[in-house]
Amino acid sequence: VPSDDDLRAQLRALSIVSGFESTFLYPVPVEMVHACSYFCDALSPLWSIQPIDDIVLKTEGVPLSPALQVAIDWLVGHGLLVPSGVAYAKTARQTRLRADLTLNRALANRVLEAVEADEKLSRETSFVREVAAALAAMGPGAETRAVFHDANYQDPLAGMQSVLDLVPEEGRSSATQSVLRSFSALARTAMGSELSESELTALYTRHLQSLVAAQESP
Amino acid sequence: VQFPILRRLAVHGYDLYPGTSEKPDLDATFLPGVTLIVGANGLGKSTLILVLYRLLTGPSEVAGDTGTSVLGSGQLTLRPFRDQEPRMFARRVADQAVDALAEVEFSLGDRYVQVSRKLSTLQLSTLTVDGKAVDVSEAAFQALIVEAAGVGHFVDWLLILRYITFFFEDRRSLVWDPTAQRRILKLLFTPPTQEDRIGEFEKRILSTDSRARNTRATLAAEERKLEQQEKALSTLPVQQAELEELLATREDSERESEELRERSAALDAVRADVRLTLLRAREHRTSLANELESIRFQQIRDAFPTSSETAAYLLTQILAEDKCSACGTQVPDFRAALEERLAVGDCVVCGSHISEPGDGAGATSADLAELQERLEVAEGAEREATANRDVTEAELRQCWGRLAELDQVVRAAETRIRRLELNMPQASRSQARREAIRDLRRQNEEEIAGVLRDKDELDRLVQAVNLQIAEYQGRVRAAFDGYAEDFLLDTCSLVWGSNVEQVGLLGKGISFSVFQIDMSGATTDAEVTRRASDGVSESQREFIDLAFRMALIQVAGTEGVGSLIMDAPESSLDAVFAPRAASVLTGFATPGSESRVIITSNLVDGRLIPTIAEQANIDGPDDPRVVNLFEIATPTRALDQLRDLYMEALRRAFSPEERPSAQ
Repeated sequence: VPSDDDLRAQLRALSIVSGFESTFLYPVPVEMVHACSYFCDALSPLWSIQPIDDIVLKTEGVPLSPALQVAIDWLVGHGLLVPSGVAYAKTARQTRLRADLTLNRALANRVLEAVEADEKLSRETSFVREVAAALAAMGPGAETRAVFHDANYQDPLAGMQSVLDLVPEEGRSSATQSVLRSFSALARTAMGSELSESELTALYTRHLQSLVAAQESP
Repeated sequence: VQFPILRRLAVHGYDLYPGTSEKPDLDATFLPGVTLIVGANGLGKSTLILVLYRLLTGPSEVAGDTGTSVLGSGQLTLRPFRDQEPRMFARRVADQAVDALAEVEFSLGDRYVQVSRKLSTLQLSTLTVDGKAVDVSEAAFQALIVEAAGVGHFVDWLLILRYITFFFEDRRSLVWDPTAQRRILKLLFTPPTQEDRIGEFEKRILSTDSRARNTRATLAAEERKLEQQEKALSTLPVQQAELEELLATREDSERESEELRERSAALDAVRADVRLTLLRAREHRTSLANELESIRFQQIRDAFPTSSETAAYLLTQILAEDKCSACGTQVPDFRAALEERLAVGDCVVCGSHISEPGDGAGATSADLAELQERLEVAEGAEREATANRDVTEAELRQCWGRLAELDQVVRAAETRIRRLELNMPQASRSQARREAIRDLRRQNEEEIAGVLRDKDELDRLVQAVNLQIAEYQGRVRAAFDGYAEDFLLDTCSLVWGSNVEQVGLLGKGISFSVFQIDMSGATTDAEVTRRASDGVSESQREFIDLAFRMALIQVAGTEGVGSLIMDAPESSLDAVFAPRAASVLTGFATPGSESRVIITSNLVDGRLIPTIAEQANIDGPDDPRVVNLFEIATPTRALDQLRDLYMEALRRAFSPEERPSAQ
């Protein structure tokens, strides 16, 4: 029987793929699912949601979540996600799975409809879908660059192959909390009023989008 | 002392007294003897008396004099009018008395003074002395009065007017109020300098007395506190023991906290390492797993090029991780079987031989075995790193938990320590308080000694004053007896006695000499000293006081002359006493004397006015010694409607048939 954490990870993966597909982006590269999940964790303090991963290793590519990968495998095994273009890319440092994922609507819709009926779960899935929609707007392949523009990821105090904290601890904020507190304060000053969690999420991803676009323009 | 001899009063432009077309306004000359001011209620008799009074006082009042209380002790000072007080006459008329002017002429000894004031504000308008205009200012007026009347201060002049000259409806008593009497006697019979000296002593005594009592109150409070402190000192050992225990607890806790903080900082650093180790181990294991998956996946694709990617993906998972992604079960035997089938080219589903085995992306079984071995090592490293992380984090959390507990302990101890220290009796504090009490006692003793010294001196001064006044007491008594026997049926005489006043609350009282009344009443022939006016009829009370005032004017006044102004004397007289009162009043101001008596009357049905008219030879309402407000004043509605009745009353008051001789 899957644990609650397993179920949250499975729901996270399913919602991400569903979120991308609702913006007509499919099949969804598995790296994009990981990137999106990372952003969900990074923005989770805005929504007071527990992240899937409490610590992340800062790497050259999109950070991989082992828990999320297990969830993806499980969803494939149960026929909710259909893989295609499965391949393994080898770099000097590591070998990574490359695959595209498609939602098996016949099964997935039953799960997603059940989630919609639950207030707590639907709140989290709508947050995940909002993040997915924002990443999709950046265009194919932008997710990797977006990660590297993220304020947590680009924290100069955390070099490559070091740990990023996503969960607050006794007497101290997490890195993501600190970043988002600063971001909220800036936004409040700029807008002249307190912004909602949805507005802050949209504003943050929009900010990332503009940074990615600026980098891509000649 | 020179008492004022009032000679003339005129009021111009005041709507209350318009006068007649032939004789506009009000203009009354006060001839020697009696002048009657007659009028119905509401025609302004009392107002006219008040106008006369305020022309003489100006816009000043005795400070603290509420108009109803007895004079009491304490130094008297002058205070100027405030707020609406100067507008007392303006408020009575519709035009606010904007053009109204009142003037009075009076003598003070050989000085002839003319004063006019605006009735709207009581401001001085003109001031002449012996026909010469002088500086028009209140200061000049007051200085003039002080000098001409022979008093020490202008406030003395107000006292003379209030307690001797004017007998208002409030009937301010002099003979029955010993505190007022001793002031009046002092100012009438002693030099002003002596009076000032007594005033200074009184003021100093009251001030020091008040200070001494405050010090005594502070002293008592401090002594109470000291007593409490010393009582608390007896519980000191218990509190000290608790405090020491708390201090030790706090110290131990802080020391342990410090150690724990150091330990947690070290653990945190260790945890950062083990976390990083774990993540790297995990990354390495994932990478190796992916590498193995990559070979396995290729093997399956080689063996089953037409199989779905989902099937290949799932089989790869089984081959690489011994785990079935469909059901989550660990299936090492099934993996071994799959591996076997793939190695010989059998179908992975049913085991039938279908093809030659693929090369597995060029990987040999030795390669696979080595990769598998590396993966197992990586998995072991990850497990170890995970265990290390878990141990470190558990220890760290334990540290944090204990730190939180210790923080609570320290905070609770500090709160209790603060409270104990605050309330902890200290011998040094008691000592400081004892010293303060000693100082306060010394200060209080000095203050009390000062009061007693000053009181002795005051007593000496007052006795000297008493002796000076005593020189006149025989004459005052004789004069009083003369007036009293004309009026009273009871035996009534003045007694030269004393009244003890407590100046301040410390020390003995000061004995001031004053006159008291001895009377024999209906119930006893023995004379009884009446120190208060209780038990004396209203008419007796007033005419005893009147007789006393007359006696004082006769003795203290230069040439024994003065003025008496009495508002509605008949109001308290019964039918028998009215003729006697008339005799007393006319007897004071005989035509041969310069003294004046001014009486107001509303013509009640009595014997006073007819008797006065006969004794003073006043012919009728047109006599120059009658101020007829029925003609001069603005008529009231009652006068308009009942004029005939009022005129009949006026006629009868002066009618020869009403006079005692015709009865």
